[in-house]
Amino acid sequence: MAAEARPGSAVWRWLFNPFHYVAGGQALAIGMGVIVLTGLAGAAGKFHFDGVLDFHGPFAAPLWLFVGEGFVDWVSMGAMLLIVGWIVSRSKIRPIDVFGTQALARTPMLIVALLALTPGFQPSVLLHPAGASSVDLVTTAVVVIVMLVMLVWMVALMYRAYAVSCNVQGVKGAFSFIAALIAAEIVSKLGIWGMSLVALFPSGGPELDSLPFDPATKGQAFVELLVQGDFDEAVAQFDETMARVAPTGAVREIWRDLEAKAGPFVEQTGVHVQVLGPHIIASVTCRFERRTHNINVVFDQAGRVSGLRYS
Amino acid sequence: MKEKALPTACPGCGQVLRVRRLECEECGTAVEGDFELPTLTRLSGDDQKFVLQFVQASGSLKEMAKAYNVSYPTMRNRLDALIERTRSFAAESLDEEEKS
Repeated sequence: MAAEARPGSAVWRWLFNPFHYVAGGQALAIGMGVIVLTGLAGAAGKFHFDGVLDFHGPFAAPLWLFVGEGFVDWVSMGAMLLIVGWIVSRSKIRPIDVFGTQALARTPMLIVALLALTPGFQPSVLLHPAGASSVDLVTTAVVVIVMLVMLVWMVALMYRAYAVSCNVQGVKGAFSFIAALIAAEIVSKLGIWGMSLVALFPSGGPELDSLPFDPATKGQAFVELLVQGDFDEAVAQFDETMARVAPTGAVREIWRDLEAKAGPFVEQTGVHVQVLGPHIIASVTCRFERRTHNINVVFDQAGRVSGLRYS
Repeated sequence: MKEKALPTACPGCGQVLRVRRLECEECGTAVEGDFELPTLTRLSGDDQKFVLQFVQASGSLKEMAKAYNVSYPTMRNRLDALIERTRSFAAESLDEEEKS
């Protein structure tokens, strides 16, 4: 095997095909560390890696779900590539090489998770730009572009990992990789959906009676602030992360968007409270002129709003 | 003296060369005939060195990977490529025998 003549080519190889040098148990150890760190960074920014190629946020969930999602994504991709590798490759494949290199290939997602912590990064402003500061808009746009570049880099690494660990190249390699990627995306989505269901019915978590506030009353009062257009007061109840990713302007735009689709707000018709790990969700049913929606206000145990969605 | 590589393909038409004459340097005895080049000699210089190192490493791909500073699957893939090449040499020889 000829030695690397140019230092530049070695750097290029480390960036796009580190598996030439690292595979097996070593790649597995580093990769698993990357997956755990990605989950922890994701939890800090409430950013989920809810599919092999997916990342969405921010929304609250137990810490184990953030970390578990990374492992489900990794195992799904590794398993699908192992299966297609056994079918198309003529070489002897070691599962540890497939899983190890796929774990290491997820390194760009750690960068994505850290990027989500950028001050001024607010994904909601891309859908509701009115009211957002131009600095936040530019910051968010730049971060999203870099995130997409990281996604492309990860897919390139995944393919190289597959090519090296299963010794498949060319047209056969490309098509079998694409088939495995699609299957893995479906499997990971199903797996993470199942995990989310488990998270919805947690054992343990705060007793409603022991809380310093009444989630039902607080949830309804919060929705009333939105109805009255008092968005500053609504945002004042957000925790740090929510205040950063959904400032007053973004919340105003979300509410206006909702009324544009469902019609003017008519009345609140009920509220249902459930506990999700350390989070308390007040699901306030609201009747609008044309439709009824549930506005889910998520509280932490101190009564601050840590999530807001409507369904 | 610079090491000379044994030519294995005809520079005119690219066909595999055959051995017609071997000589003894000591006593001058010469042997003439028609001999096929051994498969190993048809490999490139790098591949021949690889095969020698592989044998000296007792067939351990792990040791070879350490020696070359590459990953195990990279080394395994190189061995597989080498196996394919030697198989294609064997298939070519069989074809030539059938033709003759």
